[in-house]
Amino acid sequence: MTFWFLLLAFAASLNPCRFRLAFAGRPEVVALGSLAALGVGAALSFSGEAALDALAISPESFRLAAAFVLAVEGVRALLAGSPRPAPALAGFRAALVPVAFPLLLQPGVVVLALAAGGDDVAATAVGALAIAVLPVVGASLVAGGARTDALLLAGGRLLGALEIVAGAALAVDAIRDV
Amino acid sequence: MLRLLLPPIAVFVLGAAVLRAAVVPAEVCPPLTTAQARASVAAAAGWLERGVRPDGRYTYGYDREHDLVPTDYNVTRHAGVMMGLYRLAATTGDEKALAAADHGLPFLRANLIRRDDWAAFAEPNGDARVGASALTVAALVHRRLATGETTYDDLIRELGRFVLAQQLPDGSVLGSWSGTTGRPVPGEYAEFGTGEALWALALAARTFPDEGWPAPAQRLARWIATERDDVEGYVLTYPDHWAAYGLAELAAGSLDPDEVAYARSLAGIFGLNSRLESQSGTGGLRRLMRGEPANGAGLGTIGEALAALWRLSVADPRLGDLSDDLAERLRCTAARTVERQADAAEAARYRRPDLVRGAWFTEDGYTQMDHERHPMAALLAALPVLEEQPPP
Repeated sequence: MTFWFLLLAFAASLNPCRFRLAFAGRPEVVALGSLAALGVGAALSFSGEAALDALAISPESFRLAAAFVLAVEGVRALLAGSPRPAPALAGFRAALVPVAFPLLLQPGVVVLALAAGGDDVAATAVGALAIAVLPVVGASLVAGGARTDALLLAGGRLLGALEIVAGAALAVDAIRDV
Repeated sequence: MLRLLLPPIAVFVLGAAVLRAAVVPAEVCPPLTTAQARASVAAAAGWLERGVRPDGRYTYGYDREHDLVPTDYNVTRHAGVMMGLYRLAATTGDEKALAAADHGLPFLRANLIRRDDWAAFAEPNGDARVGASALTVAALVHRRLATGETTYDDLIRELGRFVLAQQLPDGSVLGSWSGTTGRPVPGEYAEFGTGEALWALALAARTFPDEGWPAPAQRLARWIATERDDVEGYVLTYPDHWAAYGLAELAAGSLDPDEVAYARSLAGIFGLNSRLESQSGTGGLRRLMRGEPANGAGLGTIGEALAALWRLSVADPRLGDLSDDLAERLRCTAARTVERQADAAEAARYRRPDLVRGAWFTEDGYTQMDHERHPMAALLAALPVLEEQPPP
Protein backbone atom coordinates (compact mmCIF):
# COMPACT_ATOMS: atom_id res chain seq x y z
CA MET A 1 0.00 0.00 0.00
CA THR A 2 1.55 3.24 -1.12
CA PHE A 3 1.13 6.64 0.49
CA TRP A 4 -0.96 7.89 -2.43
CA PHE A 5 -3.27 4.91 -2.36
CA LEU A 6 -3.76 5.29 1.38
CA LEU A 7 -4.37 9.01 1.03
CA LEU A 8 -7.09 8.48 -1.60
CA ALA A 9 -8.67 5.55 0.22
CA PHE A 10 -8.71 7.37 3.57
CA ALA A 11 -10.10 10.52 1.94
CA ALA A 12 -12.83 8.51 0.23
CA SER A 13 -13.75 6.67 3.41
CA LEU A 14 -13.72 9.82 5.55
CA ASN A 15 -15.88 11.41 2.85
CA PRO A 16 -15.74 15.08 3.89
CA CYS A 17 -18.84 15.87 1.82
CA ARG A 18 -21.08 13.42 3.66
CA PHE A 19 -19.40 14.41 6.91
CA ARG A 20 -20.36 18.03 6.37
CA LEU A 21 -23.96 17.03 5.62
CA ALA A 22 -24.12 14.98 8.82
CA PHE A 23 -22.40 17.50 11.08
CA ALA A 24 -22.61 21.24 10.77
CA GLY A 25 -20.82 22.10 14.00
CA ARG A 26 -17.99 24.54 14.65
CA PRO A 27 -14.68 24.03 12.79
CA GLU A 28 -12.69 23.91 16.03
CA VAL A 29 -14.84 21.01 17.23
CA VAL A 30 -14.23 19.24 13.93
CA ALA A 31 -10.51 19.91 14.18
CA LEU A 32 -10.41 18.49 17.69
CA GLY A 33 -12.44 15.44 16.63
CA SER A 34 -10.12 14.94 13.66
CA LEU A 35 -7.14 14.91 16.00
CA ALA A 36 -8.87 12.31 18.16
CA ALA A 37 -9.68 10.20 15.10
CA LEU A 38 -6.10 10.55 13.90
CA GLY A 39 -4.88 9.37 17.30
CA VAL A 40 -7.10 6.31 17.22
CA GLY A 41 -6.14 5.67 13.59
CA ALA A 42 -2.47 5.82 14.52
CA ALA A 43 -3.01 3.45 17.43
CA LEU A 44 -4.82 1.02 15.13
CA SER A 45 -2.09 1.25 12.50
CA PHE A 46 0.76 0.68 14.91
CA SER A 47 -1.05 -2.23 16.54
CA GLY A 48 -2.23 -3.68 13.20
CA GLU A 49 0.47 -6.31 12.90
CA ALA A 50 -0.04 -7.55 16.46
CA ALA A 51 -3.82 -7.51 16.07
CA LEU A 52 -3.70 -9.56 12.86
CA ASP A 53 -1.23 -11.98 14.43
CA ALA A 54 -3.55 -12.42 17.41
CA LEU A 55 -6.48 -13.07 15.08
CA ALA A 56 -4.38 -15.47 12.94
CA ILE A 57 -5.06 -13.47 9.78
CA SER A 58 -2.34 -12.89 7.22
CA PRO A 59 -1.94 -9.27 6.07
CA GLU A 60 -2.80 -10.31 2.51
CA SER A 61 -6.09 -11.88 3.60
CA PHE A 62 -6.95 -8.90 5.74
CA ARG A 63 -6.39 -6.64 2.74
CA LEU A 64 -9.16 -8.58 1.05
CA ALA A 65 -11.42 -7.93 4.04
CA ALA A 66 -10.52 -4.24 3.95
CA ALA A 67 -11.33 -4.17 0.25
CA PHE A 68 -14.73 -5.69 0.97
CA VAL A 69 -15.47 -3.08 3.64
CA LEU A 70 -14.36 -0.19 1.40
CA ALA A 71 -16.54 -1.47 -1.42
CA VAL A 72 -19.63 -1.83 0.78
CA GLU A 73 -19.05 1.58 2.32
CA GLY A 74 -18.50 3.08 -1.13
CA VAL A 75 -21.74 1.60 -2.46
CA ARG A 76 -23.58 3.07 0.51
CA ALA A 77 -22.10 6.51 -0.12
CA LEU A 78 -22.85 6.24 -3.82
CA LEU A 79 -26.47 5.18 -3.49
CA ALA A 80 -27.72 6.54 -0.16
CA GLY A 81 -29.41 9.91 0.10
CA SER A 82 -28.23 12.81 2.17
CA PRO A 83 -27.25 11.67 5.68
CA ARG A 84 -29.38 12.91 8.56
CA PRO A 85 -27.68 15.30 10.97
CA ALA A 86 -25.88 13.17 13.55
CA PRO A 87 -27.00 13.55 17.16
CA ALA A 88 -24.18 15.23 19.06
CA LEU A 89 -22.94 15.66 22.60
CA ALA A 90 -22.97 19.21 23.83
CA GLY A 91 -20.07 21.64 23.39
CA PHE A 92 -16.57 20.38 22.76
CA ARG A 93 -17.61 16.86 23.69
CA ALA A 94 -19.12 16.73 20.20
CA ALA A 95 -15.53 16.34 19.01
CA LEU A 96 -15.71 12.80 20.38
CA VAL A 97 -19.35 11.99 19.53
CA PRO A 98 -20.22 12.25 16.70
CA VAL A 99 -17.14 13.78 15.02
CA ALA A 100 -14.45 11.26 15.93
CA PHE A 101 -16.89 8.42 16.29
CA PRO A 102 -18.88 7.44 14.34
CA LEU A 103 -18.44 10.04 11.58
CA LEU A 104 -14.66 9.92 11.07
CA LEU A 105 -13.77 6.49 12.41
CA GLN A 106 -15.74 4.83 9.66
CA PRO A 107 -15.35 1.06 9.21
CA GLY A 108 -13.27 1.75 6.11
CA VAL A 109 -10.85 3.95 8.03
CA VAL A 110 -10.51 1.36 10.78
CA VAL A 111 -9.81 -1.57 8.45
CA LEU A 112 -7.43 0.47 6.29
CA ALA A 113 -5.46 1.52 9.35
CA LEU A 114 -5.24 -2.09 10.57
CA ALA A 115 -4.38 -3.36 7.09
CA ALA A 116 -1.61 -0.79 6.72
CA GLY A 117 -0.22 -1.83 10.09
CA GLY A 118 -0.29 -5.46 9.01
CA ASP A 119 1.60 -4.49 5.87
CA ASP A 120 4.25 -2.72 7.92
CA VAL A 121 3.40 0.74 6.58
CA ALA A 122 1.85 2.15 9.75
CA ALA A 123 3.79 5.40 9.65
CA THR A 124 2.84 5.95 6.01
CA ALA A 125 -0.79 5.33 6.90
CA VAL A 126 -0.70 7.83 9.75
CA GLY A 127 0.82 10.43 7.42
CA ALA A 128 -1.86 9.77 4.81
CA LEU A 129 -4.64 9.91 7.39
CA ALA A 130 -3.28 13.16 8.81
CA ILE A 131 -3.57 14.75 5.38
CA ALA A 132 -6.88 13.06 4.55
CA VAL A 133 -8.61 14.63 7.56
CA LEU A 134 -7.71 18.16 6.39
CA PRO A 135 -10.56 18.31 3.80
CA VAL A 136 -12.91 17.28 6.61
CA VAL A 137 -11.86 20.31 8.61
CA GLY A 138 -12.05 22.39 5.43
CA ALA A 139 -15.57 21.18 4.70
CA SER A 140 -16.70 22.35 8.13
CA LEU A 141 -15.87 25.91 7.05
CA VAL A 142 -18.39 25.71 4.22
CA ALA A 143 -21.63 27.50 4.93
CA GLY A 144 -24.78 25.44 4.50
CA GLY A 145 -27.61 26.03 2.03
CA ALA A 146 -29.72 24.11 -0.44
CA ARG A 147 -27.30 24.51 -3.32
CA THR A 148 -24.28 23.69 -1.14
CA ASP A 149 -26.02 20.61 0.21
CA ALA A 150 -26.77 19.39 -3.31
CA LEU A 151 -23.14 19.87 -4.28
CA LEU A 152 -21.99 18.10 -1.13
CA LEU A 153 -24.30 15.18 -1.85
CA ALA A 154 -22.91 14.89 -5.39
CA GLY A 155 -19.38 15.13 -4.02
CA GLY A 156 -20.20 12.45 -1.46
CA ARG A 157 -21.35 10.16 -4.23
CA LEU A 158 -18.21 10.81 -6.22
CA LEU A 159 -16.11 9.91 -3.20
CA GLY A 160 -18.26 6.80 -2.77
CA ALA A 161 -17.36 5.78 -6.31
CA LEU A 162 -13.70 6.47 -5.56
CA GLU A 163 -13.96 4.28 -2.48
CA ILE A 164 -15.32 1.41 -4.58
CA VAL A 165 -12.39 1.79 -6.97
CA ALA A 166 -10.00 1.82 -4.01
CA GLY A 167 -11.66 -1.35 -2.69
CA ALA A 168 -11.35 -3.05 -6.08
CA ALA A 169 -7.68 -2.08 -6.36
CA LEU A 170 -7.00 -3.39 -2.88
CA ALA A 171 -8.79 -6.65 -3.68
CA VAL A 172 -6.74 -7.15 -6.84
CA ASP A 173 -3.59 -6.43 -4.85
CA ALA A 174 -4.62 -8.95 -2.18
CA ILE A 175 -5.38 -11.60 -4.78
CA ARG A 176 -2.10 -11.08 -6.61
CA ASP A 177 0.00 -11.05 -3.47
CA VAL A 178 1.47 -14.24 -2.05
CA MET B 1 -24.17 9.09 25.29
CA LEU B 2 -24.67 5.34 25.24
CA ARG B 3 -27.90 5.87 23.31
CA LEU B 4 -25.95 7.81 20.66
CA LEU B 5 -23.20 5.26 20.41
CA LEU B 6 -25.20 2.09 20.46
CA PRO B 7 -26.26 2.00 16.75
CA PRO B 8 -22.78 2.63 15.27
CA ILE B 9 -21.20 0.24 17.78
CA ALA B 10 -23.75 -2.39 16.79
CA VAL B 11 -22.81 -1.87 13.13
CA PHE B 12 -19.11 -2.33 13.97
CA VAL B 13 -19.66 -5.45 16.04
CA LEU B 14 -22.00 -7.05 13.52
CA GLY B 15 -19.74 -6.09 10.63
CA ALA B 16 -16.69 -7.49 12.39
CA ALA B 17 -18.52 -10.75 13.08
CA VAL B 18 -19.55 -11.07 9.42
CA LEU B 19 -16.02 -10.30 8.25
CA ARG B 20 -14.53 -12.82 10.63
CA ALA B 21 -16.93 -15.57 9.65
CA ALA B 22 -17.19 -14.98 5.92
CA VAL B 23 -14.11 -13.14 4.72
CA VAL B 24 -11.22 -13.68 7.12
CA PRO B 25 -11.57 -16.74 9.34
CA ALA B 26 -8.39 -17.57 11.24
CA GLU B 27 -5.69 -19.16 9.11
CA VAL B 28 -4.75 -22.34 10.91
CA CYS B 29 -1.18 -23.47 10.34
CA PRO B 30 -0.18 -26.26 12.74
CA PRO B 31 3.47 -26.78 13.64
CA LEU B 32 5.37 -29.26 11.50
CA THR B 33 8.75 -30.86 12.01
CA THR B 34 10.96 -32.24 9.27
CA ALA B 35 10.61 -35.69 10.82
CA GLN B 36 6.81 -35.50 10.58
CA ALA B 37 7.03 -34.42 6.95
CA ARG B 38 9.41 -37.25 6.13
CA ALA B 39 7.16 -39.75 7.87
CA SER B 40 4.19 -38.46 5.91
CA VAL B 41 6.09 -38.82 2.63
CA ALA B 42 7.00 -42.38 3.58
CA ALA B 43 3.40 -43.21 4.48
CA ALA B 44 2.10 -41.80 1.19
CA ALA B 45 4.77 -43.68 -0.74
CA GLY B 46 3.77 -46.80 1.20
CA TRP B 47 0.17 -46.45 0.01
CA LEU B 48 1.34 -46.23 -3.61
CA GLU B 49 3.86 -49.06 -3.20
CA ARG B 50 1.28 -51.37 -1.65
CA GLY B 51 -0.91 -50.61 -4.65
CA VAL B 52 1.41 -52.35 -7.13
CA ARG B 53 -0.69 -54.86 -9.05
CA PRO B 54 0.31 -57.95 -11.04
CA ASP B 55 -0.81 -56.39 -14.34
CA GLY B 56 1.70 -53.54 -14.01
CA ARG B 57 -0.86 -51.01 -12.89
CA TYR B 58 -1.36 -49.42 -9.48
CA THR B 59 -4.39 -49.31 -7.20
CA TYR B 60 -6.42 -46.49 -8.66
CA GLY B 61 -8.46 -45.52 -5.61
CA TYR B 62 -10.44 -46.67 -2.62
CA ASP B 63 -13.83 -45.86 -1.15
CA ARG B 64 -13.36 -46.65 2.51
CA GLU B 65 -16.99 -46.12 3.44
CA HIS B 66 -18.18 -48.79 1.00
CA ASP B 67 -14.97 -50.82 0.86
CA LEU B 68 -14.79 -50.45 -2.91
CA VAL B 69 -11.79 -50.28 -5.20
CA PRO B 70 -12.87 -48.65 -8.47
CA THR B 71 -12.17 -50.31 -11.79
CA ASP B 72 -11.35 -46.95 -13.46
CA TYR B 73 -7.87 -46.34 -14.74
CA ASN B 74 -6.09 -43.45 -16.34
CA VAL B 75 -2.70 -43.53 -18.06
CA THR B 76 -1.89 -39.91 -17.13
CA ARG B 77 -2.26 -40.74 -13.46
CA HIS B 78 -0.27 -43.95 -13.99
CA ALA B 79 2.55 -41.81 -15.38
CA GLY B 80 2.09 -39.42 -12.48
CA VAL B 81 2.50 -42.17 -9.92
CA MET B 82 5.63 -43.46 -11.63
CA MET B 83 7.01 -39.93 -11.77
CA GLY B 84 6.27 -39.35 -8.08
CA LEU B 85 7.95 -42.56 -7.01
CA TYR B 86 11.00 -42.00 -9.24
CA ARG B 87 11.28 -38.49 -7.89
CA LEU B 88 11.22 -39.81 -4.35
CA ALA B 89 13.90 -42.33 -5.27
CA ALA B 90 16.00 -39.62 -6.94
CA THR B 91 15.70 -37.33 -3.92
CA THR B 92 16.09 -39.80 -1.07
CA GLY B 93 17.54 -42.95 -2.61
CA ASP B 94 14.43 -44.90 -1.59
CA GLU B 95 14.91 -48.34 -3.20
CA LYS B 96 11.33 -49.47 -2.55
CA ALA B 97 10.00 -46.43 -4.37
CA LEU B 98 12.31 -47.16 -7.29
CA ALA B 99 11.14 -50.77 -7.47
CA ALA B 100 7.48 -49.76 -7.30
CA ALA B 101 7.96 -47.18 -10.04
CA ASP B 102 9.78 -49.71 -12.23
CA HIS B 103 6.81 -52.00 -11.75
CA GLY B 104 4.77 -49.58 -13.86
CA LEU B 105 7.12 -49.81 -16.83
CA PRO B 106 5.57 -52.91 -18.49
CA PHE B 107 2.15 -51.22 -18.51
CA LEU B 108 3.77 -48.15 -20.02
CA ARG B 109 5.52 -50.17 -22.73
CA ALA B 110 2.33 -52.08 -23.51
CA ASN B 111 0.45 -48.83 -24.12
CA LEU B 112 2.96 -46.99 -26.25
CA ILE B 113 1.98 -46.06 -29.75
CA ARG B 114 4.62 -45.10 -32.27
CA ARG B 115 4.27 -42.95 -35.39
CA ASP B 116 6.97 -41.32 -37.47
CA ASP B 117 9.76 -40.53 -35.01
CA TRP B 118 7.68 -40.23 -31.86
CA ALA B 119 6.08 -42.39 -29.20
CA ALA B 120 3.11 -41.58 -26.98
CA PHE B 121 1.71 -43.17 -23.84
CA ALA B 122 -1.85 -43.75 -25.04
CA GLU B 123 -5.17 -44.77 -23.62
CA PRO B 124 -6.28 -48.31 -24.50
CA ASN B 125 -8.54 -46.87 -27.24
CA GLY B 126 -5.49 -45.49 -29.03
CA ASP B 127 -6.06 -41.80 -28.24
CA ALA B 128 -3.11 -40.04 -26.69
CA ARG B 129 -3.21 -37.10 -24.33
CA VAL B 130 -0.12 -34.95 -24.23
CA GLY B 131 -0.06 -34.92 -20.42
CA ALA B 132 0.46 -38.68 -20.11
CA SER B 133 3.51 -38.61 -22.34
CA ALA B 134 4.83 -35.44 -20.75
CA LEU B 135 4.60 -36.95 -17.27
CA THR B 136 6.28 -40.09 -18.56
CA VAL B 137 9.18 -37.93 -19.76
CA ALA B 138 9.34 -36.48 -16.24
CA ALA B 139 9.16 -39.98 -14.75
CA LEU B 140 11.97 -41.35 -16.89
CA VAL B 141 14.18 -38.30 -16.38
CA HIS B 142 13.82 -38.82 -12.63
CA ARG B 143 14.55 -42.52 -13.06
CA ARG B 144 17.75 -41.46 -14.81
CA LEU B 145 18.55 -39.19 -11.87
CA ALA B 146 17.77 -41.95 -9.37
CA THR B 147 19.77 -44.70 -11.07
CA GLY B 148 22.30 -42.97 -13.28
CA GLU B 149 21.15 -45.32 -16.06
CA THR B 150 20.63 -44.11 -19.61
CA THR B 151 18.48 -47.12 -20.56
CA TYR B 152 15.41 -45.04 -21.30
CA ASP B 153 17.05 -42.03 -22.93
CA ASP B 154 15.75 -42.94 -26.37
CA LEU B 155 12.22 -43.36 -25.03
CA ILE B 156 12.49 -39.97 -23.30
CA ARG B 157 13.43 -38.45 -26.66
CA GLU B 158 10.61 -40.27 -28.49
CA LEU B 159 8.02 -39.13 -25.96
CA GLY B 160 9.45 -35.62 -26.09
CA ARG B 161 9.07 -35.65 -29.86
CA PHE B 162 5.37 -36.48 -29.41
CA VAL B 163 5.05 -33.29 -27.37
CA LEU B 164 6.85 -31.45 -30.17
CA ALA B 165 4.48 -33.00 -32.74
CA GLN B 166 1.60 -31.50 -30.78
CA GLN B 167 3.22 -28.06 -30.64
CA LEU B 168 1.90 -25.33 -32.92
CA PRO B 169 4.01 -22.54 -34.44
CA ASP B 170 2.80 -20.08 -31.79
CA GLY B 171 4.34 -22.30 -29.09
CA SER B 172 1.07 -23.74 -27.75
CA VAL B 173 0.59 -27.48 -27.42
CA LEU B 174 -2.56 -29.30 -28.48
CA GLY B 175 -3.93 -31.53 -25.76
CA SER B 176 -4.82 -34.70 -27.67
CA TRP B 177 -3.90 -36.90 -30.57
CA SER B 178 -6.68 -38.98 -32.11
CA GLY B 179 -6.08 -42.63 -32.79
CA THR B 180 -9.00 -42.51 -35.23
CA THR B 181 -7.75 -39.70 -37.46
CA GLY B 182 -4.08 -40.20 -36.78
CA ARG B 183 -3.72 -36.45 -36.17
CA PRO B 184 -3.63 -33.99 -33.30
CA VAL B 185 -7.14 -32.86 -32.34
CA PRO B 186 -7.30 -29.23 -33.54
CA GLY B 187 -8.31 -26.43 -31.18
CA GLU B 188 -8.30 -28.60 -28.09
CA TYR B 189 -5.99 -27.69 -25.24
CA ALA B 190 -5.53 -29.78 -22.12
CA GLU B 191 -6.28 -28.22 -18.75
CA PHE B 192 -3.06 -29.50 -17.23
CA GLY B 193 -1.38 -31.02 -20.30
CA THR B 194 0.05 -27.68 -21.39
CA GLY B 195 1.92 -27.15 -18.14
CA GLU B 196 2.97 -30.81 -18.07
CA ALA B 197 4.35 -30.38 -21.60
CA LEU B 198 6.36 -27.36 -20.48
CA TRP B 199 7.86 -29.30 -17.62
CA ALA B 200 8.68 -32.24 -19.91
CA LEU B 201 10.38 -30.02 -22.47
CA ALA B 202 12.28 -28.15 -19.75
CA LEU B 203 13.47 -31.44 -18.26
CA ALA B 204 14.48 -32.69 -21.71
CA ALA B 205 16.36 -29.44 -22.25
CA ARG B 206 18.22 -29.91 -18.99
CA THR B 207 18.90 -33.60 -19.63
CA PHE B 208 19.97 -33.23 -23.27
CA PRO B 209 21.13 -29.62 -23.48
CA ASP B 210 22.66 -29.91 -26.95
CA GLU B 211 19.71 -31.51 -28.71
CA GLY B 212 17.47 -28.56 -29.47
CA TRP B 213 14.99 -28.92 -26.60
CA PRO B 214 15.44 -25.47 -25.02
CA ALA B 215 13.90 -23.53 -27.95
CA PRO B 216 10.50 -25.29 -27.99
CA ALA B 217 10.42 -25.19 -24.19
CA GLN B 218 10.98 -21.44 -24.26
CA ARG B 219 8.36 -20.95 -26.99
CA LEU B 220 5.82 -22.84 -24.89
CA ALA B 221 6.78 -20.92 -21.75
CA ARG B 222 6.24 -17.68 -23.61
CA TRP B 223 2.83 -18.79 -24.90
CA ILE B 224 1.74 -19.86 -21.43
CA ALA B 225 2.93 -16.58 -19.95
CA THR B 226 1.40 -14.28 -22.54
CA GLU B 227 -1.52 -15.99 -24.29
CA ARG B 228 -2.71 -19.13 -22.55
CA ASP B 229 -5.16 -17.56 -20.11
CA ASP B 230 -6.82 -15.51 -22.87
CA VAL B 231 -6.97 -18.38 -25.36
CA GLU B 232 -8.33 -20.84 -22.80
CA GLY B 233 -10.74 -18.29 -21.32
CA TYR B 234 -9.41 -17.85 -17.79
CA VAL B 235 -10.20 -14.51 -16.12
CA LEU B 236 -7.51 -14.84 -13.48
CA THR B 237 -4.20 -16.58 -13.96
CA TYR B 238 -5.00 -20.28 -14.14
CA PRO B 239 -3.47 -22.01 -11.10
CA ASP B 240 -1.32 -24.46 -13.04
CA HIS B 241 1.21 -26.11 -10.77
CA TRP B 242 2.76 -27.90 -13.73
CA ALA B 243 3.59 -24.57 -15.32
CA ALA B 244 5.29 -23.64 -12.04
CA TYR B 245 7.36 -26.82 -12.28
CA GLY B 246 8.23 -25.96 -15.87
CA LEU B 247 9.32 -22.40 -15.12
CA ALA B 248 11.41 -23.60 -12.18
CA GLU B 249 13.11 -26.17 -14.40
CA LEU B 250 14.06 -23.75 -17.15
CA ALA B 251 17.57 -22.49 -16.70
CA ALA B 252 17.80 -19.78 -14.02
CA GLY B 253 17.85 -16.34 -15.57
CA SER B 254 16.44 -17.55 -18.89
CA LEU B 255 12.93 -16.22 -18.24
CA ASP B 256 11.94 -13.08 -20.09
CA PRO B 257 10.10 -10.26 -18.26
CA ASP B 258 6.66 -11.58 -19.30
CA GLU B 259 7.51 -14.99 -17.91
CA VAL B 260 8.75 -13.44 -14.68
CA ALA B 261 5.47 -11.51 -14.44
CA TYR B 262 3.55 -14.73 -15.07
CA ALA B 263 5.53 -16.53 -12.36
CA ARG B 264 4.63 -13.68 -10.02
CA SER B 265 0.94 -14.09 -10.92
CA LEU B 266 1.15 -17.82 -10.32
CA ALA B 267 2.73 -17.16 -6.93
CA GLY B 268 -0.14 -14.81 -6.13
CA ILE B 269 -2.87 -17.21 -7.10
CA PHE B 270 -1.30 -20.13 -5.26
CA GLY B 271 -0.64 -17.89 -2.26
CA LEU B 272 -4.32 -17.00 -2.25
CA ASN B 273 -5.29 -20.67 -2.60
CA SER B 274 -3.02 -21.53 0.30
CA ARG B 275 -4.53 -18.82 2.49
CA LEU B 276 -8.08 -19.81 1.63
CA GLU B 277 -7.27 -23.45 2.25
CA SER B 278 -5.83 -22.61 5.66
CA GLN B 279 -9.14 -20.93 6.52
CA SER B 280 -11.14 -24.04 5.72
CA GLY B 281 -12.17 -26.75 8.13
CA THR B 282 -14.28 -29.84 8.45
CA GLY B 283 -16.98 -28.42 10.68
CA GLY B 284 -18.86 -25.40 11.93
CA LEU B 285 -18.70 -22.00 10.31
CA ARG B 286 -15.48 -22.83 8.51
CA ARG B 287 -17.14 -25.70 6.70
CA LEU B 288 -20.19 -23.56 5.99
CA MET B 289 -18.27 -20.58 4.65
CA ARG B 290 -15.38 -22.29 2.87
CA GLY B 291 -17.03 -25.49 1.70
CA GLU B 292 -15.37 -28.89 1.68
CA PRO B 293 -11.66 -28.67 2.45
CA ALA B 294 -9.32 -29.39 -0.45
CA ASN B 295 -8.77 -33.06 -1.20
CA GLY B 296 -5.31 -34.62 -1.20
CA ALA B 297 -4.64 -33.71 -4.82
CA GLY B 298 -5.81 -30.14 -4.24
CA LEU B 299 -3.64 -29.72 -1.15
CA GLY B 300 -0.71 -31.35 -2.90
CA THR B 301 -0.86 -29.24 -6.03
CA ILE B 302 -0.90 -26.03 -3.96
CA GLY B 303 2.18 -27.25 -2.11
CA GLU B 304 3.91 -28.40 -5.29
CA ALA B 305 3.36 -25.05 -6.97
CA LEU B 306 4.52 -23.08 -3.94
CA ALA B 307 7.63 -25.25 -3.68
CA ALA B 308 8.46 -24.90 -7.38
CA LEU B 309 7.94 -21.15 -7.29
CA TRP B 310 9.98 -20.87 -4.09
CA ARG B 311 12.80 -22.72 -5.87
CA LEU B 312 12.46 -20.33 -8.80
CA SER B 313 12.39 -17.29 -6.52
CA VAL B 314 15.64 -18.38 -4.90
CA ALA B 315 17.27 -18.95 -8.30
CA ASP B 316 16.04 -15.79 -10.02
CA PRO B 317 16.73 -12.52 -8.19
CA ARG B 318 13.85 -10.82 -10.01
CA LEU B 319 11.51 -12.95 -7.89
CA GLY B 320 13.65 -12.92 -4.77
CA ASP B 321 11.23 -10.68 -2.89
CA LEU B 322 8.68 -13.54 -2.94
CA SER B 323 10.91 -16.17 -1.32
CA ASP B 324 10.02 -15.60 2.30
CA ASP B 325 6.27 -15.39 1.70
CA LEU B 326 6.32 -18.47 -0.53
CA ALA B 327 8.26 -20.37 2.12
CA GLU B 328 5.76 -19.32 4.79
CA ARG B 329 2.78 -20.42 2.70
CA LEU B 330 4.53 -23.67 1.84
CA ARG B 331 5.21 -24.44 5.50
CA CYS B 332 1.55 -23.86 6.31
CA THR B 333 0.23 -25.93 3.40
CA ALA B 334 2.67 -28.73 4.20
CA ALA B 335 1.59 -28.76 7.84
CA ARG B 336 -2.07 -28.91 6.92
CA THR B 337 -1.33 -31.66 4.40
CA VAL B 338 0.35 -33.82 7.02
CA GLU B 339 -2.46 -33.17 9.47
CA ARG B 340 -5.09 -34.45 7.05
CA GLN B 341 -3.36 -37.73 6.20
CA ALA B 342 -4.93 -40.92 7.55
CA ASP B 343 -2.65 -42.53 10.13
CA ALA B 344 -2.51 -46.12 11.35
CA ALA B 345 -5.01 -45.52 14.17
CA GLU B 346 -7.55 -44.06 11.76
CA ALA B 347 -6.89 -46.83 9.25
CA ALA B 348 -7.56 -49.50 11.86
CA ARG B 349 -11.22 -48.45 11.97
CA TYR B 350 -11.78 -49.58 8.38
CA ARG B 351 -12.07 -52.95 6.75
CA ARG B 352 -8.87 -52.63 4.70
CA PRO B 353 -6.42 -50.57 6.74
CA ASP B 354 -3.70 -50.92 4.11
CA LEU B 355 -5.84 -48.97 1.66
CA VAL B 356 -6.44 -46.23 4.22
CA ARG B 357 -3.11 -45.71 5.98
CA GLY B 358 -1.06 -42.93 4.42
CA ALA B 359 -3.89 -41.71 2.19
CA TRP B 360 -5.91 -38.50 2.00
CA PHE B 361 -9.67 -38.97 1.86
CA THR B 362 -12.44 -36.68 0.73
CA GLU B 363 -15.35 -36.00 3.07
CA ASP B 364 -17.28 -38.86 1.51
CA GLY B 365 -14.44 -41.26 2.16
CA TYR B 366 -12.82 -41.57 -1.26
CA THR B 367 -9.20 -41.40 -2.29
CA GLN B 368 -7.39 -42.04 -5.54
CA MET B 369 -3.75 -42.31 -6.56
CA ASP B 370 -3.30 -38.60 -7.29
CA HIS B 371 -4.56 -37.75 -3.79
CA GLU B 372 -1.44 -39.46 -2.51
CA ARG B 373 1.01 -38.61 -5.26
CA HIS B 374 0.57 -34.84 -5.18
CA PRO B 375 0.89 -34.45 -1.39
CA MET B 376 3.92 -36.75 -1.43
CA ALA B 377 5.61 -34.56 -4.05
CA ALA B 378 4.67 -31.39 -2.21
CA LEU B 379 6.04 -32.59 1.12
CA LEU B 380 9.21 -33.85 -0.52
CA ALA B 381 9.72 -30.48 -2.15
CA ALA B 382 8.95 -28.68 1.12
CA LEU B 383 11.74 -30.44 3.04
CA PRO B 384 14.43 -27.83 2.21
CA VAL B 385 12.10 -25.08 3.44
CA LEU B 386 11.38 -26.97 6.65
CA GLU B 387 15.09 -27.62 7.12
CA GLU B 388 15.88 -24.00 6.21
CA GLN B 389 18.20 -25.22 3.49
CA PRO B 390 18.63 -23.81 -0.02
CA PRO B 391 16.74 -25.64 -2.78
CA PRO B 392 18.48 -28.65 -4.32
